[in-house]
Amino acid sequence: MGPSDNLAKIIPVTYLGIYLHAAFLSISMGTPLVLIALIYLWNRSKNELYFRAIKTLTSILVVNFAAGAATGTLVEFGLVQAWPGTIFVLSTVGFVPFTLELIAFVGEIVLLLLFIITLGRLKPFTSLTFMAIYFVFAVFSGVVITSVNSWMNVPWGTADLARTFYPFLPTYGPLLVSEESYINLRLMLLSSSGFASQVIQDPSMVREIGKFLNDPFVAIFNEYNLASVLHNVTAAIIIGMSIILAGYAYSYVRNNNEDSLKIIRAFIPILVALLIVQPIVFGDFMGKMVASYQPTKFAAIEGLYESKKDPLLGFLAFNDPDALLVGFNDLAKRCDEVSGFKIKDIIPATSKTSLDQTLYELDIGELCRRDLIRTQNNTPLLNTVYYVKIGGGIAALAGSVGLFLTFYNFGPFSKILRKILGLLGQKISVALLSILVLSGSILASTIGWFVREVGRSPWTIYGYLWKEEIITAVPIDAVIITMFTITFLAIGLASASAMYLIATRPQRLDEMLRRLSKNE
Amino acid sequence: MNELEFFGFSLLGLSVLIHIVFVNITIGTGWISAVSRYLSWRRMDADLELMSRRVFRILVITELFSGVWGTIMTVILAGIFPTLLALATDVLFYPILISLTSIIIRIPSIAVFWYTWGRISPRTHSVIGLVMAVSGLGVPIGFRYIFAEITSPYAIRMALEGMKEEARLAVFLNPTYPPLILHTIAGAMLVGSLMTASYFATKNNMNVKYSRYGILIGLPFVVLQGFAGTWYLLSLMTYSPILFRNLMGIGGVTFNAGPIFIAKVLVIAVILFMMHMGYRGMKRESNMTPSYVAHLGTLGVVMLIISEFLNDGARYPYMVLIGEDGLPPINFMNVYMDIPLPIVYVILGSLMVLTGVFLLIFYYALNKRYLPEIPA
Repeated sequence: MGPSDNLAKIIPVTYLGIYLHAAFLSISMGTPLVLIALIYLWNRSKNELYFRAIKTLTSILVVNFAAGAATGTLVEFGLVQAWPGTIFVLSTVGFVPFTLELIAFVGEIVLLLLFIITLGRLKPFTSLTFMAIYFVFAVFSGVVITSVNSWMNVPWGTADLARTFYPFLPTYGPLLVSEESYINLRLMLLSSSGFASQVIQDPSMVREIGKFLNDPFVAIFNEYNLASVLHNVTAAIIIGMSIILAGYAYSYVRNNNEDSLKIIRAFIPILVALLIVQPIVFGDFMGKMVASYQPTKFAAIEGLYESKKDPLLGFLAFNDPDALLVGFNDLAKRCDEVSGFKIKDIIPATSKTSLDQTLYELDIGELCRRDLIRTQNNTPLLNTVYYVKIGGGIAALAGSVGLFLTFYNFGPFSKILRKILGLLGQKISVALLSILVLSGSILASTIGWFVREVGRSPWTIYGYLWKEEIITAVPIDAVIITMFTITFLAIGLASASAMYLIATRPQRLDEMLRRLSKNE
Repeated sequence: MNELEFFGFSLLGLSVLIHIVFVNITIGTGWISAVSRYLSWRRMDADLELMSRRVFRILVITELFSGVWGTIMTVILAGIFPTLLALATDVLFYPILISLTSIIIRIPSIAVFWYTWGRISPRTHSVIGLVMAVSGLGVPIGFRYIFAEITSPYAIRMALEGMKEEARLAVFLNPTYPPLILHTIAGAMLVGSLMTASYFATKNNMNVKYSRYGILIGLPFVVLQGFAGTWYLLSLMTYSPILFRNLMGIGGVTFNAGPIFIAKVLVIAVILFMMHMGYRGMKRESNMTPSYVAHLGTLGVVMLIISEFLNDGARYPYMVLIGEDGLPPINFMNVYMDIPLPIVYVILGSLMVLTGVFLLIFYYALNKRYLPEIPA
């Protein structure tokens, strides 16, 4: 059984795990903002409605946090277990972010516990402060984890090293890694079984790789990272808030509960603001980074088989309407420039015993073209889903603006909208607009992540290591995959059901139990 | 050992010790809570249900923190000992898979168990409780294979001889594993019962009946501990002579842990004595719990720390023991970069401070009853 067999089996369940974790972490990031808005209103109005909602949402947040921690543990372990090549990333560029994340994780737990046990006992402002700090930790966690993923998308600090094999790639910052170590690992994988895990568990091969990283903070200060952080964290918050919005909209439609509308009204302005900023500022920033640093991904999502000029796209991607948008044809020409060059021509033969000597005869141009074709093969899919993602984002924005104008008075805009929606009736309007927000934001975010991950194929570390080199060498049985898939789905379902129960059903403990407790 | 090696070895050891303390408390109290919930349903006994809810509060607060320190261990392994982690995730792929599956089930089942209480039928709720308890045991059942392998490499040795495929299954045949896991499970149950007895002997949570239950549950596990511990020690004599000699403090030790071993035996003797006296005292006077019972939990934690220190730290200066020889930590350490020690110190300090804050919350939540067992 080879790497491709494992790839076919592990990738779907990895995606399932990541998406499940993303769903829970989105709620963990969106709920604090809703809670902060509700605590503020509760403090101002002293209305019990808000306090009840705060308690319900807190219980949901706890179950969700537990599910998020479980799936997060799984994703983390899954990373080292199913994709053991990533241990190399964790022990180098990932070391600082992952250790910082520990503080965020512990901070989240401490603050969440503090919030729970003091809610209603201390002043609302104190509870609000606890929740705000919890939110800061949650965001910080997102920031540092995203930085590792960003480095795998754009391996900052490797300067021109990736161009050794792929001349169409740009320069990735200053040289902050050891050139010899970088090349050694690449060659070892090309010449060995092809599994990074087999290389990095062998102490003698590890010594041959040697010191790789000179700046442990490189992942944090990656140019590509800032855009990624802003874009990803905001997306997570939006999804979390959209789920809560949908929950309260459902409660209103099903039970005719007018109180639910008051809760929606409390946080819809925040959601609208985020949905406006996300595409216009953060999305645009992200797009520019992709255009600058990931030429193959940019060509794939824009369907650029041939280079062309497009004023709008040129302006959006490079702030220049006249910019040439480089397509696969020109990227392939760059590969031709190194055609005929052998590994031995560019890298002096070393005395590394673990290297297969035939490796030195490998044609770099051929390697370059082969990987480019693998990227190009994803173009129809990436191009299509990318524009579906844009559509999802627009739908979510439209839905949230619609709700905002319904709940708040914005002169003629609100009047016109209310007239149009009046034809449908308020219940249907709220339901439709909420569905638009929820489905649009989920669509945009899930596809966004898909594009981010698949867009860097065939590499896991862009321009450096392939997916099949990172994956486990252990032959994975279909039974294990099935078992994991079932466990994932069961946990997701159980957690979602528990959250639904908390939101909809009051707790009815045995009267005897209650009496016993009071007699203590 | 050079300075960095010793630092890495100690840091990993510290995280293992803290993790083990929390994890044993959650596993033991998880079983007590789940079983008392089940019995309360079968016997229609609200008193047992109340006990279940109250014991559960000990679990729920410690669980996430045990997870946190588990994550910290993983990060230390990945960051400081990546070669060892890469080896473990390959040769010990299946045992880690068992633990991983258990963790995924365990954490949400705890939250679901707590928040569905009174919202679903007692029968379904009891089943969720038992799922939670069983999945808790699954975690050490998987992870203890790693400890067995670094104490007496059975599968790793096969892997090093080129039989990697065979080694991945042979890992389940490690001869030191059966006594080790029995010792671990009995230890977790004992610590859970001691915590329970202790908790219900404190001023604000006084309940003689529940405290007595705690001691009663613990008694058979002390006996089992004695048996499993002796079995484990004998297996070390055969399969891991260095660790055995170090524990006994006899002939050619690399680290004399003999006095610590004696301290452990003494602590267990004191625990057993206090359990016996406490139980008798509570039987005689049904409305009084002897004050020393409140200290059983602390003693249980002390026993736990000493035991784990002996199992892991007494192998010094080696990380992996191979018969009469061993591999020092340097063989598995990160050579890909210089570990940024200042940031490690800052993070470690922050984690300790946050752990301190957590323990304070833990105290208030349990002793001042800030986390109510019955919602208002």
